[in-house]
Parts: sequence; C-alpha cells; structure tokens
Amino acid sequence: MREFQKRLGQPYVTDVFLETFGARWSDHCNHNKWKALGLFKILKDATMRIRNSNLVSAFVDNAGVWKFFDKLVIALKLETHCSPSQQEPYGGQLTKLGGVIRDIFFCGLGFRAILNLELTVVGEFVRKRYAQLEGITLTARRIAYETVRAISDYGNPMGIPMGLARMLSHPSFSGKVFALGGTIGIGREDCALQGTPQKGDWILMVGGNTGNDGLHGATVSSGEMTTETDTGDSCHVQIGNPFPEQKMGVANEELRDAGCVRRGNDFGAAGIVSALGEMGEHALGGGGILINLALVLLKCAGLENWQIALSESQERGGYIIIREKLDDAIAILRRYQLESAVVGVVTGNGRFQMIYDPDATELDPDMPLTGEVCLDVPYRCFDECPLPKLEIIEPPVRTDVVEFPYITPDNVEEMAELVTRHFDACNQAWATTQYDSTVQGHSVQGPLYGQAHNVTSHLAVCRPVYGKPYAVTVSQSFSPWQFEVDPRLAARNAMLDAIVAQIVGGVKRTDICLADNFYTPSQDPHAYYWLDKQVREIASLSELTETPFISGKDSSSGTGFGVNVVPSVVITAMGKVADYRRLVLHQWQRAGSILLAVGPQHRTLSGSILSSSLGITGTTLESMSTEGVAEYLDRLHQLVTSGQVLSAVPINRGGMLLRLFEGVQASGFGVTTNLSAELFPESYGGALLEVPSDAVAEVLNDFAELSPRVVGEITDFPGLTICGKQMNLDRLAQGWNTTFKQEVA
Amino acid sequence: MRKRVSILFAPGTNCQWETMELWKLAGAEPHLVFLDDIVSARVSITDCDILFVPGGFSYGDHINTGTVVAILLRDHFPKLQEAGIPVGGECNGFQILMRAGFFGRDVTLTENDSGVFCSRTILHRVQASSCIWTSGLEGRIFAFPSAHHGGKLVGNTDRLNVVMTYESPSPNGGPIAAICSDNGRVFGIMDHMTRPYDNPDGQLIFRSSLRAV
Repeated sequence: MREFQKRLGQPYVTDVFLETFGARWSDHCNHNKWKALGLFKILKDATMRIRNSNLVSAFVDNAGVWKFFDKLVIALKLETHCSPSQQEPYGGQLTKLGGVIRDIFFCGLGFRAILNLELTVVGEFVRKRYAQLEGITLTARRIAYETVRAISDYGNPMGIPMGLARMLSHPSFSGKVFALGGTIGIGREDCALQGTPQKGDWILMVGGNTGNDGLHGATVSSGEMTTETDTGDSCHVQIGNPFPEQKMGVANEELRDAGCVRRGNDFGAAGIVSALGEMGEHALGGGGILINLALVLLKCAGLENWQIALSESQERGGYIIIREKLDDAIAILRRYQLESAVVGVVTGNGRFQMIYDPDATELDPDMPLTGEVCLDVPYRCFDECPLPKLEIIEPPVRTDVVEFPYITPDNVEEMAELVTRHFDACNQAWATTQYDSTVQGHSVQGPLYGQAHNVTSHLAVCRPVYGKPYAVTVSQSFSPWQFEVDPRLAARNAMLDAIVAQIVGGVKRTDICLADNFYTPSQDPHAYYWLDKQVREIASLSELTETPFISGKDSSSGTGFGVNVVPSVVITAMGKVADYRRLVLHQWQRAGSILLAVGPQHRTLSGSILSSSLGITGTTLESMSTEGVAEYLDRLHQLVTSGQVLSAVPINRGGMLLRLFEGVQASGFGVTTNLSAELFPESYGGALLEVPSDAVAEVLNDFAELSPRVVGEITDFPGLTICGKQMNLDRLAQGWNTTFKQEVA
Repeated sequence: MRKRVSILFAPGTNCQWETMELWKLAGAEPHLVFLDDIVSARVSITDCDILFVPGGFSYGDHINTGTVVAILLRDHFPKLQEAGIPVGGECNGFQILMRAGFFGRDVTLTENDSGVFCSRTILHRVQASSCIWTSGLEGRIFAFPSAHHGGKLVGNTDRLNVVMTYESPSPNGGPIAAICSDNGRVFGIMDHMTRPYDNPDGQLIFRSSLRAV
C-alpha cells in the first residue's frame, strides 16, 4: 500500500483509504482466488458461447436475468452467509435472507422478489468425527434451531413465499456451517439492465440508518474462522431488520415505474465503499462520484468516517437518481415512510471521492473537495489488486476398499429405515411449515406437497403474473455425502439432478438457466485442485446441455476451527413454462399406474444416504456419461410432455427407496415392487415416472433409449411391499417423522 | 357499477397484491389506500363501499400485532361504523381490527399453541350467523391457507358471532376461524381467503359482501 500511496502522490493515507482498499481487494468483493485460478472466466465464457436467446444478463448485476413472457424478465440470485451464521446463527441467517432478497430488489432498475430458497448444511449432531469441537463451537442443534427461527422471522414479514427449503447435516460443516439463501425476482424487460449514471445525478441513501454495525464483513468473511473471530470483529455482521427492508422493496418498484432510477445497489459487504462506489464506477466518462459522509443519516453518534463508509445493512439501499427526478423519488419514499438522504453526486471525473464536511450540504459535480478529504483516488486503481499465487496440488488416488452390506428382501426393511430416518431424508415439515409459502397468492407447488403437506418438493412452481398461467420453476441439488466421495463427479450429479428436476416437470431444456454456489475450504491443500475440476466440469456440462450459468457466488473460506468443509457446489436451476397447468408434478395420481425408472441405473452405494447411515464414505462415485446428454434430456422432455406421464420426480437423495416411501406418504396410495438392492443407489440424472398401465408397453418401446424399466405398481392399499414382503410402514414412518424434531425442535 | 373497495396499506402490509386481484375477480373496483394519507387527512377512510385490511406485519408487529395501526386509526375507524361501511380483515388485518376494538374488549388474538408460525392449507366450515360476508354460504367447507403465528382467539368467546370454525386441525389451537361483529358487518379471519389470488372460495365470500352493499 505504501508503494501505491507514492504512485498516487498522496502524502498520507486515511483510515477510509485503507479500509476502502481492504474491502475492495478482499476475496469477498474481488474474488481474488477465483481470478488467480482463471475460473470466473471459464464459467462466463461458457455462458456466452451458449448464446441462449433467453439470456438478458449474467454475472454483471446483483442477479442473473432471464427472459420470461410478455416483456417481463425473471432474476435468480443465491448467496452464502456462512461465517456469521456459524458465529451467531439467528442473526447470521436473518441477514443471509435479507441480503439475498435485497440483491433482487437492486437488480436492473428494480425487481419484485417472488420466491425464496433456503438450504442450510449443519455439522454433526453427535460429535463423532470432530470431538475436539465440543464446547468450542455452537452445537448443530443450536445452529439448526436458530436457523429455522431466523428464516421464519425474516422471510415471513418480507412477504415473499418460500419456494424450496431443506436442511442437511454433514460432519465437515461442524466448524463452519453452509448457509445458503436464494431469491427469485420478476421485473420489466425494459428495466432489466442498470443504466449509466450521468454527471449531476444524485446519490441517494434509503432505508435503515447507518450505525457501528456491519463493519469488516467483507474482510472477515474472506478469512478463516478462528477462536479470535468473535472477539476481534464482533460487529462485522449487521443484523437485518425486515420491516424497513420490506417497505424498501415495495417502494423500489414504484421508484422504477416512476422513472426515477438510473442505477441501484444494495448495502452489502463494505457499505458505501461497495454500494455507492461500484455504481459510481459505471458513470459516464470513466466513472466518478463524490460522497459527503457528513450527510449520511446515522443511528448512533460518534462514528468514525471509516465506519460510516464501511457500515453494511440489509435494509439500506443506494440509488443514483436522475437529477430532475429527485423530488418525485423523495415523495414516493415518504409515502412508504422510508427515510432517505442525498449523500453525493455523480461527477464523471474518473475518481472515487469521499469527504466529511457538514457545511457542504449543496453538492455540485464540479465543486472542489472541502472539509476532511477521506478518499480521492482514480477508479482504475481498484483494478490493480495483487492476486495470490495458488498452487494446485492433486490429491493422491484413493486405494481404500469399502464393503457395503448385501441387501436382500430379508434386510431391506432395516436398510429402508436407515434411509427414511436419516436427517437429510426425513420429514422436516416442522421447520418448513414455519415459512410462509403462499403469500402473494401465486404459489403452485411450494416446498412441501402431499396429503399431509409434509413431503419435500423437488420443484418449486409459481405463477407470478396475475391473470396469466406463466410459471417460474425452481430446483436445487446438493448432497454433501456425494461431495465427500468425489467433488468433481458430485458437481456433475448435482447439476444433472437440478436440470432433470425441471425436465421431468415439463420445462424445455433451453428454457432452463443455472446458478452455482461454491463453498471451498481454505486450509485443504487439495482445495484448488477440486475447485478447478468442479468449475471445468460444470462449465463443460453447461455447454453440452446449453443451460447457461447466469449467476453464482464463490466462498473460498470454508474452514472453521481447523475443520475443512468438503469442496462443495450447490446447483440451482430456474426455468419457465407458458402454462403451469401443463406441468407434471410429483404427486401420484391413481392406483394401478406403473412406476417406471428412466435414465442412469447406478450400482454403487458410495455417496448415498444409506452409506452415510451405515457410516461408510465409499470411494468411487458413479455419474451419468455426459455424451449425448442434451439428446437424453430432450427425449425425457418428449416423454414427460407426451401425455403418458401422470407424475414424475427425479431420483436423487435417498434413491428410489425414498421416492417410493415419499410417494406413499404424499398420496395415501401404496406401492409394490420386486426390486430391493436396486432401490438404494442414487441415480442422479434419472427419474421415476408414473405411467398408466395401458401406456407402459408403448413407453418401453418408444423411449427405449431412456432405459425405461418397471419399478412397481401403485396400489389402493397404503403400504410399501418389496419383493412380496409388506414393509412395516409405521416403523419407516416413525423414523422419518421423528428425526428432525428429536435433533432440532 | 363496480363497488369501490379500499385496501388499507400500512407500512409492513404484504398481502396487498393477491387481495387486490381477488377483489377484482369478485367484481369490485379495489384501490390501495395508504395509512399515512388517512392519518394526515388527505384521504377519508369512508370514501369507499367496503374497507378491507389485508395481511402482513404492519409496523413489523412491533409492540404487538396490529397495535400500532389500531392506535394510529383510533379516530378514523369509528367513522366506518357510523357510515355503516362493511369492514373485513384478514390475518394481520384481523389483528388490527381486534386491537381497534371492533369485536369488543373481552376477546383477543394470541400466540398459537405451537408457539410457532403455521403455513399450511386449512379447511373451514361456514357456520350460520348474521354475517353479511358469508350470507348464503352456511354449511360450506372452504379451503385456503393459514399463515400466522398469533391467531388463537381467546377470552369470552361464547358471546361471539362465530362465522367459521376449523374443519381440519386448527393452525393455532383454537376452534374458531372467523368471527363477525354483532351487527354482521365487520368480519375478521386469520387465514387467507385471498390465496391463491383466484381462490373460488374467497371469491364467494367477497361477492357476498358486495351483494350486501
């Protein structure tokens, strides 16, 4: 920094100067590790090469934007909030959701948030693998319980329906939880892209006032969590407040429709430094804004300048308002009882400038810097961040051999119980029903379905345009047990699964877009090897399937208290269909139907829920070949939309066994099957389809390339019969129904 | 001519969109009325045929559910009764009407027995009552979702004009799903008739109120 200071010819540096560079150059804001490895470019280039005509914007805004219908667009964004959620789960998870919702509000010139997504992976409930963490970190139970409370307390007041929600558990997340939240938005195509700020435009801060909280969020979250984190940077997480943020969301649309907004941004990591600083970078003439920190509305006295500049908030937003529209904007904000203040002006002089001058209340783009000059640097300086030198070290080939139990009709019930009672597979309705899934009145299929409203959905569906049947569909895939075995193939499986969940619903392949959310350990010597492999894998598959990534986020500090997370990536898919009534959803329709499995037929139990229950990690993961994958997906789509499929679900976590059990729970029907061992492997990329008995022969014949095979028959009697043996459904349901409550509630 | 229905929008209201849509489908002409405009006398609360208070978390549920709005409109709500204008409240709207005293001071809405928010579809049986909102619908079973954590009706419930009871397990632990004022014109329900926005059961209820005006 000293050399840099000399080059700029600045005799001294201020705290604001140091903190600005600290934040702008942090891994959180600048993605240094990804840039050093060249990974960001790989994904972006793949998206550009696909040339999908639905693409509006990818990786350039607060969310990715995808064409919808009638000159409308939809936006997709997910974000992690792991470090704060590990330290103080309630506040961390509140803020996670508040943060990602606000990304949607501030995409383009303003979007409405229409669906939330929730996924949290906690550590082991009983500390077996990491006994040393006992008494050092919060228990998984505490984190899980506080997560449910937080998501309910934030998501419900925001008035955004929950689309998908799931909680998982894996030992490697015992030192640092995986807290992922997502939001889908809808907006106008003509307002889908941010504008270019013009000299003289006003910079307006709106919503919650600035305080001594949310300081150093960018830098703390870029590092490893240690026992010092709590004491050293205890105020790095701003605790979100849904009340002002909800008002901001509604007013945001009105500001857009009134033509007031040139650009908007959220007050995420690094507050003014990033929210306003980033917007100023896009000003006509090479960027340039002037901020007067003395005009910022404060909620407590005695703040240092760097604190005002850095303070983050979920319920605060920044706008560049068209100069002559300021009065209109303020009138709209007052109507919603939102506080606001003009804190700066667009200068277009190529510099990011911050002053503190209580007397400079009338801002002018050509005014000299007065008062205390806190920052005055050319924007181009921020591009000169030194990148780390990262070494890619290949892990040794695993040679250990594992043995799984032989599954027969005699022990199949015992094995089935191990699956149904597993935390990742069990009934989590106690948590999910605490999230409002019907507000806005457009939900078609929420996070739960079935007669008792307790089976987890694989596809969220909503119809957000009132009076029109247009639907948005969302699916998501991640199983930590897969990633523990082979992070690269697990990434492929997750991606295939997320896409297939859409395809079997009836969504066309080219109407699907994706988001990636990586969570990589910082202390694992092989982390960058896996990260590199994973990115290349999903980029390649993205091109093969022509389903582009339009949004993503990397968190490269997945190590807590010396425990490395497994190299992870969650894949979320968003699709669209013109008429929700044509979608094929999960619930079994009628007794007498035949269940057919299609797609890959895996044999190994490695990475499965059953292997996890048995305490066996496994060594080799199976994955569907990517050769001909686009043709496979299209053929699957043809089958599902042929009118011969009554219901459909992807085969993923828990394998066919769990799908059959859930089918019984959801429908009240029963099922009989002559398969046993084949029910447990998790054939990611495959699907279980309900077909009328009189159409089975035709499907088997006409769609032979999908490898269709009979799994069983739906019966009137509500039971599960395997190889002629009636399973004790009460026993299976007992574990399924009680695990979550025992561990969390 | 379509009846004018005012949809009260207070800071924290979040069910205005589906409420507007359902009123439109029911044949009314709904419009948003901002609380601030009523309090500052820019708009009269009685400038409508029906006032409907939608759900949400008005003022963040701070102090207590619905309390802040009830206090801010304490001088305005009585004008509705004087003018004989029907009033409906759903979820937080019901809580606001309750805090404002429309249903008497010896009953209230309190936390669900479970202690947590409940989001699931619930069945409701329409009881015989003098309520204009359900006139002719007695005995019908309606399905729409609950989404609340403070909807249990307690107090001197024996005297209440009960409009609906829960036909499936109660989301809050109490048996009463909806009530009406003694004169049959002020209606309160915790669950959401307006979800989905084209809910046929909700339309029947809204149409019943429109017929009455």
